[in-house]
Amino acid sequence: MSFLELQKVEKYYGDFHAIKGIDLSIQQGEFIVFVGPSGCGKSTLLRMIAGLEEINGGDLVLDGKNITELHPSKRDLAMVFQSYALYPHMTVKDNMSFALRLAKEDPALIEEKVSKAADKLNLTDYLHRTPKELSGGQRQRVAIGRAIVRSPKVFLFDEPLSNLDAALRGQTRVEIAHLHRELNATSIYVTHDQVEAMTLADRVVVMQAGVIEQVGSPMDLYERPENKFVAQFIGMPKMNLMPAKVLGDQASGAAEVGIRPEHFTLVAAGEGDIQGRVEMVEALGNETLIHVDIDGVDEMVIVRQYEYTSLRPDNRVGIKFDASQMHRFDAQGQAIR
Amino acid sequence: MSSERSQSRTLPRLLMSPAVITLLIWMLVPLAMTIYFSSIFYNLMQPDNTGFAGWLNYEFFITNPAFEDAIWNTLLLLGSTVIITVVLGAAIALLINDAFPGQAVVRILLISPFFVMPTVNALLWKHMMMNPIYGVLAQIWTYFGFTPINWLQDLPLFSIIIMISWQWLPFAVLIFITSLQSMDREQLEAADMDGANYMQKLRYLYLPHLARPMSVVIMIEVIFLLSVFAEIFTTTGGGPGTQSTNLAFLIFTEALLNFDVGVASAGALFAIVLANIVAIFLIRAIGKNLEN
Amino acid sequence: MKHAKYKWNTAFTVRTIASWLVALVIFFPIFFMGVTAFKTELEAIAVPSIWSFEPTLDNFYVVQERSDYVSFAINSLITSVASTVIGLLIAAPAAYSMAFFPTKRTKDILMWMLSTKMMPAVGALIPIYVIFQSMGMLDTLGALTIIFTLMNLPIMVWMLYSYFKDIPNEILEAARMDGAGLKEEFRHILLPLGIGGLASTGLLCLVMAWNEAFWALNLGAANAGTLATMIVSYSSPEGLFWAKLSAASLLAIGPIVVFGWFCQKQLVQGLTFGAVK
Repeated sequence: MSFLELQKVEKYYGDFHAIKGIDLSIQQGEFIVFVGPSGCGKSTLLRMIAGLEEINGGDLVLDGKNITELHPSKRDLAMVFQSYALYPHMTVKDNMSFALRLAKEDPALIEEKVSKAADKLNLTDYLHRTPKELSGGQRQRVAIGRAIVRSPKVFLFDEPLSNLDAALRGQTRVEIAHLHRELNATSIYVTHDQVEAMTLADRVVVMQAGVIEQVGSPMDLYERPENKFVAQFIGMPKMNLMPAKVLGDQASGAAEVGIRPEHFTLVAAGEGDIQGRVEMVEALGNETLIHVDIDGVDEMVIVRQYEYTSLRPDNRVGIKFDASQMHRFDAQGQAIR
Repeated sequence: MSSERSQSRTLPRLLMSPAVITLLIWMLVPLAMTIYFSSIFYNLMQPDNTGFAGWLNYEFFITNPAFEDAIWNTLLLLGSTVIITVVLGAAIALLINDAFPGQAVVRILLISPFFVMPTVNALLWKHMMMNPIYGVLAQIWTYFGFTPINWLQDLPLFSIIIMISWQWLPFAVLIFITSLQSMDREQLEAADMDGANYMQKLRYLYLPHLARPMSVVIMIEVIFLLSVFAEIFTTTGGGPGTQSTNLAFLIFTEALLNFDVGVASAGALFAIVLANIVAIFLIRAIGKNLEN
Repeated sequence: MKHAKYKWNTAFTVRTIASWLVALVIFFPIFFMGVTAFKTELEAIAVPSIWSFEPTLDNFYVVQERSDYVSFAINSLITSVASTVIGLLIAAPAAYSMAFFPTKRTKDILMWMLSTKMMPAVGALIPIYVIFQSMGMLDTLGALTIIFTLMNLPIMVWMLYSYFKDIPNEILEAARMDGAGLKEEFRHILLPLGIGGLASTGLLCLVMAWNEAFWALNLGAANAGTLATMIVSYSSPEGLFWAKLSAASLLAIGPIVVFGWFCQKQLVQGLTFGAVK
């Protein structure tokens, strides 16, 4: 029996079918990431779990208890909001102790829990400040602290890093992973950033238009995408997709073929499996991305290599690929194994 | 779906109901009664005269020689006040828009007249400013060698217009200043870089931006000014004759002085219809703003 | 080199002087009235006006004696405060519901509420008069309080709605996740965050009720007279009365003008129904 289970969960906004019968089982201690493009329903699903959006169909079961109809305050879940949603008129300490005070817990106990959490998050010096006196990163940590203090059954994160600058994002990402392990927590995390998904998740749930496209560990999704959408969503730069005829009969029965940029190798023009013309070279320092316009079809592929290249735009070039790394997709976009 | 959904519907409705019910009553009851009264004979001086009057009350109200004057005066009052307040208001707002020493104090001084009670406003002007012998204006006139004007006697409507304009000018100024403060600075900077002088900026940037608040000010003033009453009551009593009687005062006269409720009600409906026409436009403007 | 705050060229100087001039001219009548209140009657009507004199408080005493300023002031106070408080009690829940539980009809209802304010007072004069007369409530504080409440209600709902909408919904959601039911939500979050809005709305409506003259004049003069009606009694009396009129007026408008300075922003929002930002 899993810890948190979604059973055929549905959501309608008027006539719009936002969430279309989702099934998902989450084990205790897992770090689950919901990822997908804007509008796919990931935030909606998270809010439905939290109780902030109504569940129109199906059931939500937490630790054996059906919580589908329960008010958010009674579900024993904690949420970290994208905009932090700190109480502007309360100090950091009051923000973090609010839930416990509402539950009328023993003040000494509250004091202890708050200082422990503040300590973990380096907030001890800021306990008496109000949110407007804090930087974005500090507010972020208060929001997390507010959730930790409650020791909830599940932590919910709604794109918590999107309002931070790049450097802070990387740092906080690591901190969140660390906290999850330390607290033995169960976490559900929503993001549109697949890097966060890949680095934080035990399992990733890829969503599109209200349905789950695939669930699996990050590596599962990377190496064995079940359809075109997942194949192209995970991985940066995107997987190269070409019509099957480019590879001739090596494609054997597929409509389209996908190969990741790092599985292409550049060879001299005239050699290799595919011919093309260099369109652009992006030298990033740690790697080089070469955009090649393929002969015969209106397609551009990206080749990734670690070495610098002396190639220039308009140079002719040949491409060799690793056949074992070829992903084949049928006409419906499903992977052919 | 469940109890949760129906619970989340009744609570908001419950919370809104006192306000909605109260306003509903406030809107419907007087309206219904006014319509009713306007269609019957109801004169407190002639209690025996009752019964359905049809359109007679309306006829009577309209054919009252004072009616034409009242309508004319009302429009004149409205039009003049609106023009004065909007034009002067915009000018003053533009004048004090950019910072200068004492801007905050100047603003406070300019706003004060709006908060003066209408009756105080009326008497202030009647006695202190407009009195032909002791008044300040009289003093100014004699200083320049002119005979002082007997404002309330000779120019009753104009005097009222002055009083009302003085009171509502701050409103216009305040609205326009608020609007100017929210103007996009970068737009003005771009114009500066394009080499625009003040007159050009005025014509192409400031005035178009003020067009919206101007229309709002005009509409709000029209709605409130239709009911100008206290000033007339306190100073000219509608006179001399009917020179300063407006629609509101005429209705008041019919109802509380002539005790002809039927006719007065007919008149009141006139005023309501007039106000509603303007209100429709105003509501649309507000509605557009709510979308944002 | 220290940078000056203002650039004093000709245009700027002219503008500054002009602005001050305009402000002083417009404020002058109030100023004049304020000064006259402290003169004797003879000084008051002196032509040309005297500017150096010995200030006296006599007029204020006479005003109280002759027209019982205090009882009128109390009436004004009672009606303004009562109508504001009652109004807030009715308006706040409605505004809360519309701000946090909006439905498709919310906007229409709000517009409709605003439209009730647009009805000219004169349109309701007769029915209201008749109703109160038949209830024996003419010339009572209760009647005035009811009317003032009704007049200000749309504005209160509108302004509180705006203030509540400014509170981010996510904060309330966070409170709910933290275990707050409706009561706790109200007590710990809405009230502290909304109190500023409640106060300024209340202040604005207090000012408007205090200054209300149309209904005060028509519905009550003797027992329930407010300061607005008291002033009218100075309109054509016998003998010299300017100084006293000034004193009475100053007493009537003084606090309100000052309050008004503090609610400029609310005035713009409230009276234009938010159509101007």
